[in-house]
This record gives sequence, C-alpha cells and structure tokens, in this order.
Amino acid sequence: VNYGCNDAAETLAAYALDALPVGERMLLVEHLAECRQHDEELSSYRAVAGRLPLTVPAPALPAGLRGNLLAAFDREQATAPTPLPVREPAETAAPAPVEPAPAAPEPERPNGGFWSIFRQPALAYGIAAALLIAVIGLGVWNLSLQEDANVMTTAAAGPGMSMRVSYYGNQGVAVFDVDMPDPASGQVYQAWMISHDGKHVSLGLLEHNHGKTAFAADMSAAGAVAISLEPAGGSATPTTPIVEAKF
Amino acid sequence: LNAPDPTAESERTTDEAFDRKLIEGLQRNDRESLAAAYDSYGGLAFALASRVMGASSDAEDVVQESFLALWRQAPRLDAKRGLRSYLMTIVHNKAVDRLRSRGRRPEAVLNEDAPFKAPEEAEPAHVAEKASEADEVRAALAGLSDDQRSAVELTYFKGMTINDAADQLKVPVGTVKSRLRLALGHMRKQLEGTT
Repeated sequence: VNYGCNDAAETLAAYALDALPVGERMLLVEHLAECRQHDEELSSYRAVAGRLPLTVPAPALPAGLRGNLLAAFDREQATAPTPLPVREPAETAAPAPVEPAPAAPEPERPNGGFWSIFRQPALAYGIAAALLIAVIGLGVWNLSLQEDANVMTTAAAGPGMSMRVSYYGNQGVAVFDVDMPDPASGQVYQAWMISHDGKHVSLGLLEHNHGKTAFAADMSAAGAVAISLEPAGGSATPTTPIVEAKF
Repeated sequence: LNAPDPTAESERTTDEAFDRKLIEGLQRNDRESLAAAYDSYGGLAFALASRVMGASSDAEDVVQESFLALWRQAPRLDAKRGLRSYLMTIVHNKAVDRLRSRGRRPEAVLNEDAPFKAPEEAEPAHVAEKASEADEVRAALAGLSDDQRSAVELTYFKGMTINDAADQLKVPVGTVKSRLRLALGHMRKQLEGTT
C-alpha cells in the first residue's frame, strides 16, 4: 500500500481520537515512524483530544476503587520489587549499526554457508548472541510517536542485515524496519515476540525484507523480538532464528 | 501531597509542579504518589471511562488498569507534558480497546444531553474569557457545526471507529475524517492561548 503524507494528513485527527481501525492505524504509525512533517499537527490534535474529558460531568467515584487500585499496586510491587529501568531521553538520529565482530563471516544466500548455521537453532542462538546480535538502545524515531510514553524500541544488526523495532504500546502496534538479504525461494521471514520466560509468539510474516512491516499486537509482556527464516506460510515456532534483540 | 483542582485556571502553575512531583514519585514506585494521582485525576478518569463504556464495572477496571499502566510507564513520562494528558490517553485507549474487543457496538443514538452541548445563551468567546478550562473546552465544542460535533461524539465519546461512525451517520468514511480534522482544527484555534 502506498501510504503518503496526504493520507496521513487526512487521518491524523481520527488517530488522535483513537478512531482508526487497526489496519489504517498500522499504516499511519508506519508512516509516522519515518516522516517528521506531521509532528506539529498531530501534537496539536492530541492536545485538543486530551482536554475533551474535561467536558464530561464527573460521576461519584465507586467507593472501593481507590482501595482496589492500591491493593493491586501492592501486589505488583510484591511480585516485581525491582524498579523499572529509566530510559534515556529519546533520540531521533538513525541508529549507528554496531560493527560486527571481525571474525564474522560475510552473509551468503540463505541456502548455504553462513545461513546454514541458523538451521541449527541451538547453535544459531549461541552464535547470534556471541557474534551477530547487537542490541542498541534507540530513541523514538519520531517526535509525534514519542508522545506515546508506552514505547519500547530496540534494534539488532549483523553482517548484511539490520532490524529496528518500535512498539507503540498505547496504540498496540509494533513496527519492524528491516534490511535483510533476499530469502531463498519458498522461504519467508517471520517476526516473533519473546516473553521474559522465553516463549515465542508469532507476530506474522514480514511483508518485505527491506522496509517496514507493522503488526497489531499486545507486546507489553515481551522481553525481546526476533526474526526467523521459515518455510512459506510461516511456522508455529521459530526454526531458523536470524536476529534477536532485547528490549 | 494535596491534590489541586485539575480544572481550575488559577491552579495551573501549581498543577504543573504537582504533576512533576507525582511523576517523580511514581518513578520511585511511591505508593502515596499513586494515591495522590488517583485523588487528583481519578474522577476525571472514571468520568471518561464511564462515558465511553457506560457506567459499569468495566469502567472501574479500566480506571484501575490505567493508573497501574501510568505507574509502569512513569520512567518514560515527560513531566512537561503533564500527568493528566498521559492518563487520559491511557484511559481512552483502554476503554476503546475493551469496547471494541468485545464486539460491543457503541450506542447508536447520540446523547441529546451531551455535556458539551452549547448553552443557548453562551457566547463561546465570552465563556472562554472567564470560565474554567472545562468551560473553555465546552465552548470550543459548542462552536463546532452539528456534523463536526456528532463526529467527535461518536468517535471519541462513543468509542466508534471512523468506519462505524460513517455507517451511523450514513456518510463516506472520508467525510468523517474530514469532519474530525475540521473539528479539532477549529477547537485548536478556539483554545489557543487558553492554556
């Protein structure tokens, strides 16, 4: 879909009001992730939308709500006593790919050589961790999207490949921006979220191996994301992990 | 922490400092800061959730989840933006998501007693000069055309997507987008200089 600035401009107000259906919301988020022309307009729409609740008469608060909230806070504190990490201020510059280790082999076509390593999942993850996977703390790409405080970003890079992922939690949209070698015939790239306990959940197939693909997903429990190479149609579990990056 | 009135004009500077303290407290996982945030903005949060979802336990759940989400997001909050803005975004997101995930079609009839309906005698500019922030926003809403106001009502306050609103209003989706754009643009102009 060729989604441009005119489409975005027509849609920003609806986006600020949470009125876009999922498909169109993903298209807009993809666009906003790289286009800075809408920052000011979206920010102004959000400022208006944020004041609309003031027009609603306040009903009486339920008696037990405050206590329930604090009890839930106490429970969560008890089970997760470690303070949440404070992220660095957002940067808008493009990520600097991490240099691969000198000994890393050059990428080859997926049907052999370097890629064949990844047909052995256990070995692949080990090597990935040691040589290829470089986790980069990224800022948010775009000031418009930066206003969503619930954003997680990460990236990984290796020889001939890179992946940047931003998850916009309040929108429930994850954008994968990748630059990967062409897959072999009959193979596809598949995106995954990985929970903190190591469980892989498929987000879907990448539409391109160069550029952005957005997925509607609840990734609030994700500790990492990954891309794997799979047979056409995708797999239930990743069989050939290529890149992985922790949030 | 004593909660100021979040809608009072004279309290805005105090509100900003208060919000900063709350955000700093939430970042330290301070329970009292969460309680103070609730005391300040719980009523507004519950009003919005109830408006979108209808008075129900769902609205209570949304409010509780929203405050917990606010706390979890505290490390990434920018104090300059203000806590209310973040919280209202979260509440609306969650209310709308819950509404839509259950396949619940929002009410099809516009509320004739909508809170933003203009008082017949109200001169928006006059109202904005002397009234509270809430009155200023009501006045800005009152300055919209009926078509624009209906589009805002159905999407923001009823939680409809633009597609559902278009069905309801029997107009193309593009027309709903256009009305929303014009509505927020008009309100932005009306509210300029009032913050």
